[in-house]
Amino acid sequence: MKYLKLYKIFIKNSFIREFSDPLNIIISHIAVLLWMSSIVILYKVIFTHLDTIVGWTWSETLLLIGTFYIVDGIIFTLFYWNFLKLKEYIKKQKLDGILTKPVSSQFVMSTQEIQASMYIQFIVAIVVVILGLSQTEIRVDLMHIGLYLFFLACASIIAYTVWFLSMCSLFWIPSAENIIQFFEEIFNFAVYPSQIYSGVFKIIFTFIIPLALMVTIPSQILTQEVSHVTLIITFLITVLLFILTKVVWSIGLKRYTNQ
Amino acid sequence: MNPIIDVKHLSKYYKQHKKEPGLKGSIKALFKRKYKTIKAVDNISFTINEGEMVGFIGPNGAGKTTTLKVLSGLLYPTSGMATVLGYTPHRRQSEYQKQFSLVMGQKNQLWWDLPALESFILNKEIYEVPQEQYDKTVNELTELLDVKEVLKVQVRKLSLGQRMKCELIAALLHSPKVLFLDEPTIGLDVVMQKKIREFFKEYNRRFKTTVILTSHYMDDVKELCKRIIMINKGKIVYDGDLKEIIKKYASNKYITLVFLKEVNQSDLKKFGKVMEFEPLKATLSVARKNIPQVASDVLKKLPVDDLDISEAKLDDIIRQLFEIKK
Repeated sequence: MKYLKLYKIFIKNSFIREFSDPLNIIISHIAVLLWMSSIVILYKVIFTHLDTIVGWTWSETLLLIGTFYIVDGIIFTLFYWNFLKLKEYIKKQKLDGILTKPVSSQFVMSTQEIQASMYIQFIVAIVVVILGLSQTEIRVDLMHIGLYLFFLACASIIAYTVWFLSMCSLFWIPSAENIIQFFEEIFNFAVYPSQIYSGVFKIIFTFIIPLALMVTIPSQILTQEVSHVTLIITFLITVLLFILTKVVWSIGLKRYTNQ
Repeated sequence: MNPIIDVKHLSKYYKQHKKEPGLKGSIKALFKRKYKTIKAVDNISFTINEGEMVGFIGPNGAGKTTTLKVLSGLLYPTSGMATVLGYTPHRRQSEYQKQFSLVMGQKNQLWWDLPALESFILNKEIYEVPQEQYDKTVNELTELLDVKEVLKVQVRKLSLGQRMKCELIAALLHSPKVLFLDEPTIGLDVVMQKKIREFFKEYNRRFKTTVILTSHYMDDVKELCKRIIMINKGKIVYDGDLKEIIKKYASNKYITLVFLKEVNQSDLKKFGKVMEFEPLKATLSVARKNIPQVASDVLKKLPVDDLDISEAKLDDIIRQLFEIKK
């Protein structure tokens, strides 16, 4: 309850902050629209020469892109600014203020800054998903939509955990900027369908850095059949990763407070 | 009655990596690391009872902030024990955290681009302060600090003094039983320092909070604390009444004189003990009670261009105390 109230305050504060600058909002709206359109156009161009890419048709690819940018939008709205602050706070030993308060420091550092103006990216990405769906023959029922949304949430959590864990490396390696950048770049690979991976990469990107699962799975739920086993494994990996963030954060804090 | 703060043989050591200068040194350090142990806090013990306001003074690096950080749960002790309100601070239990507050001078906890009021609401939820208590406390503190008009202004638009006052309200709105103040007046101008000191005096009087105040300004401590703990190089050098220390070791003040033309050292000796002497400048040590008389005598009898009266420096007092301890 308390954490829900705190989250409401964070959302309210971010709206107060962002909507005090209307020009910024207009510009970011236009930027997102232009950018998303260019990606869709790029893929359309590729598809004028091919019928499928690793077995994915044009409409399925649209779905994949849309899904990726929904997750991407979630991450950038909810977590990006927090991660920037987190980097600074760990390096400059500024966590003291939060650590003395009766609240989860991981929660506050992960949620306090929200980039409300990024909502436009959701809207556009959802339009792309609907566009993709409309071009298939498949009729989608409520259950599949429900599953889709659920695994979208899992995808967001996976992205959060991977990114967050890379931030935690700063507790041990103060100059770990490179590691963090590596993860930020790698995250962009999640837009590609998992079928592009084979062999050892398939294992790495499925179990170690679950990018393959993130966006591919929810998209596939809508257009293909996904086995129950796959869904359960994805869910379990999500939960395990989340628990891992709590463990690593707590160990990192022990190191921070021992200095 | 049990003391609120109980520290027994507390030590906090750090390992500092020693590296020889230059490129050769860096390469050597890759293979073999030399460590030096820094004893930030070295076997200190003290107890503080409810309602006491204790000054923790010492020069920079003496161990004041380290001690406060241990008591706030931000650092693990290397050895020894510290309890506050019966809790072990480094376990960071929320029941303990709701009952104390740490205020560090010049460290902002308010959200920069929002009105202070929004930060207060956030703290209210974090500390789970009931609405009625929150309203009453914030009103009372706002009045005491005289900041009613600025609560709805963005923090980044406030002056340093107004910001500090709002920081204090944010830190106190959960009515903590124990207050740790780490250099609370550092960086403030003289007028604001005085106002903040007056606030703490009144706050402690009204709410009987137990307070540890660290500072390297004697004035902070003189205004607010009856008891002081002097710490130097991690060890406690004195723990007792402030008046006693002033009587014994700071019984003198310094008069610094700048002359229009050269004077002889012998001419100065009759006014007080000569601490420093140059042909055109000298510093005399004079008993407190004699200062007004000596100052007026010196101005009358010597060619004085400028006269300055200052407190005995903390370093001098500590040095004297150390000599005595030996």
